[in-house]
Amino acid sequence: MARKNRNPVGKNVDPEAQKKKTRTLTLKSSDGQEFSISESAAVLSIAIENMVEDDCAGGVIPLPLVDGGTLARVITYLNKHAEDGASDEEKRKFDEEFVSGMEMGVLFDVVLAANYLDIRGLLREVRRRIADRMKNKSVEWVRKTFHIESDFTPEEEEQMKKEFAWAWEGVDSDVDD
Amino acid sequence: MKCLESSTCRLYLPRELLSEVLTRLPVKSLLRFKCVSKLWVDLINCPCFIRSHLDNSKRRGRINIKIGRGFSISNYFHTLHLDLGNGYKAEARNLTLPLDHHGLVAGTCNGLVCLLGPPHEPVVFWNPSTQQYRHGPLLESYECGFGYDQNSQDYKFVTVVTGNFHDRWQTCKIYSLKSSSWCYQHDFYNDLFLVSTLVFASSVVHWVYSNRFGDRGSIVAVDLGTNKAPRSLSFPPGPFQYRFVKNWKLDSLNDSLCALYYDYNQQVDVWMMKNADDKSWGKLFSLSASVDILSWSPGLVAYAEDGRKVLILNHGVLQWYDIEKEKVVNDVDVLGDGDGDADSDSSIHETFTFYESLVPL
Repeated sequence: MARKNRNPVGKNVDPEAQKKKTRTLTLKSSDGQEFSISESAAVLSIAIENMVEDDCAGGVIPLPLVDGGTLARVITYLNKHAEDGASDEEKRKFDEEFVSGMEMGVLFDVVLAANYLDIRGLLREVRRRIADRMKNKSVEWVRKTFHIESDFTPEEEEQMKKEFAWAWEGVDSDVDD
Repeated sequence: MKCLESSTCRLYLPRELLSEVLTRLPVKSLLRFKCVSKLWVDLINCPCFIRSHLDNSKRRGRINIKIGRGFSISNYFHTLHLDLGNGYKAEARNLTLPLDHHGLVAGTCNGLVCLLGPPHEPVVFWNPSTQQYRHGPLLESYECGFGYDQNSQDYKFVTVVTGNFHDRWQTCKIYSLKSSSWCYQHDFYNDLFLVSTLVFASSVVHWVYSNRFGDRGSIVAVDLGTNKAPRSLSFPPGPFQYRFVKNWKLDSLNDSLCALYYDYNQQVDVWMMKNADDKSWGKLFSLSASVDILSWSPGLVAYAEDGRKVLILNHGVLQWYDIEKEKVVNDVDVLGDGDGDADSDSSIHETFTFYESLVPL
C-alpha cells in the first residue's frame, strides 16, 4: 500500500509503477487452478513481491499452500487494495464486508494464506475478526471450532472453572454466527 | 503443512498465529479459555504472551480511567472506559473493590492498581481485569507511588516517610513485589518538604521538595533499578515567575515525566522531559485555566491515538487539547453514569489510567 500511496492518481506516475499495473502474473493454487492478477496487486503480498524480485516467477507462481477457493478470496482483496482511486475509507468498508460473511473455517484458511503470503493488512483484519467472533463464546465452542480435545481431567477443569467463575458469566450461545 | 489440504485439520492454526489472535481478546475471555486445553493454558500464562497482550491493549487505546470524586467513601471504584481513537464519549463503569476501605489509589502501572487503606493496614496490589489481588507492606505514609522497574522486570512500591516537623528526617523506601520485601532504603535529612505526589516515568520515581516558603526546592528522582542515592533534577527553564516551587506539579504522559506550572495569571504551562538522558525539557503547551487554579489543578491523562491531542483533566472535566490548534477542542461526554451513591457532584478530581492486562500478582 505504501508503494501505491507514493503515486496518487493524477500526479506524475513513475513508469515502473505503470508497468506493474499492466503486467500480469499468474498464480497457481494447490489444486491447480490458475488466476491472473496485475503485478501491482500481487506485490501487496510481500512473499509474492520477493518471488517477483528474485525473478523466480517464470510466468506462473505456484502457491502450494493455498487452495483455489482461498486464493480467489485473497485476490479479490488484493485487487481492491491496488485499485486506483479507492479511498482509505472505501478500503476500510471493503475490509469490513470482506470478512463479515466468512465462516470460521474460511477465516482460518484466509488467515493461514495471509500469513504465508505475508499480506499484513489482510492478516490484521482477519485476526481481528476471528478474535471478535471468539470473544463471548464458550470453551466448548472454541474446542469444537479449533478441533481441540480437552486434555484436562474433569477435576482439573472444575478447579480452573472455580478460580475464575465470573469469567463464565454472559457467554453467548454456541450457535455460530 | 500437509495438514492444510486435508479437510479434517483445516482448522489448525500454528501457535504463533493462534497467539496473535488471542492477544486481541479481552482478559475475561482469556481466563475462560485457559480451560480449553493444556497448550492454551501454557500459552495464556506465558510471560511473553502477557507482555504482547498488554502491548496490544495499549495500542488499541482503550483505557480505563479511575476517577476520583472528592472524599466519598464507597466500595466502588468509579471508572470511565474510553477509546483513544474516538474519544468523545466515555462509558461509566463501577468496579467492586477487592477490600473495603481500600479505595485510595497510589498509582497504576501495566493494568495493576496500587490501593491504600487506613494507616498501618497493608497496601493492596490489584489487577481489576483478572480481579486478583495481594497484600503488600503496612502503610506508613500516604506519600506513595507504584511503578515498573524495566531493569529487574519487577513492580515496585515506593513510599516517603517523613518524621515529625522538628527532626526533619525522611526515609525513602522501595518494596519489591517479586521478593515481597523492602529492597531499598535511603534516609536523608533536609529542611525541605515534600509537596507533590510521587510520579513514575521510565522506571524512575520523582517528587518535588520545597522549603517552607515555597521559593526554593527541587525535583528528586530515585532510579528503581539502582540502589543509588536520590538525585536532583532541575525544573524546566523559564521566566522569573517560575520561582514558586509550590506551584509545580509533576505528572506523566506516555511514560515521560511532565511538569506543570500553575501561574497566578491563570495559565498552566505544561513541560515534558524530552530526553531522560540529558534531562532536557520541552514545552508541550500552555493552558488558560480557571480562577480557582489551585483547587482545580489540571492533570494530564493520555495522548490520543494519533498523538495530536492530549486528554486533560481541566476544572473537573475531561477535555481534549489539540496541540497544533493550541486549544481545547472538545469535552468528553460521560455516558451511563452508574453512580449509585448520593454523590451528586459529577466533577472529577483525579484520574488514574489502566489498561486491560493479564499481569499476575
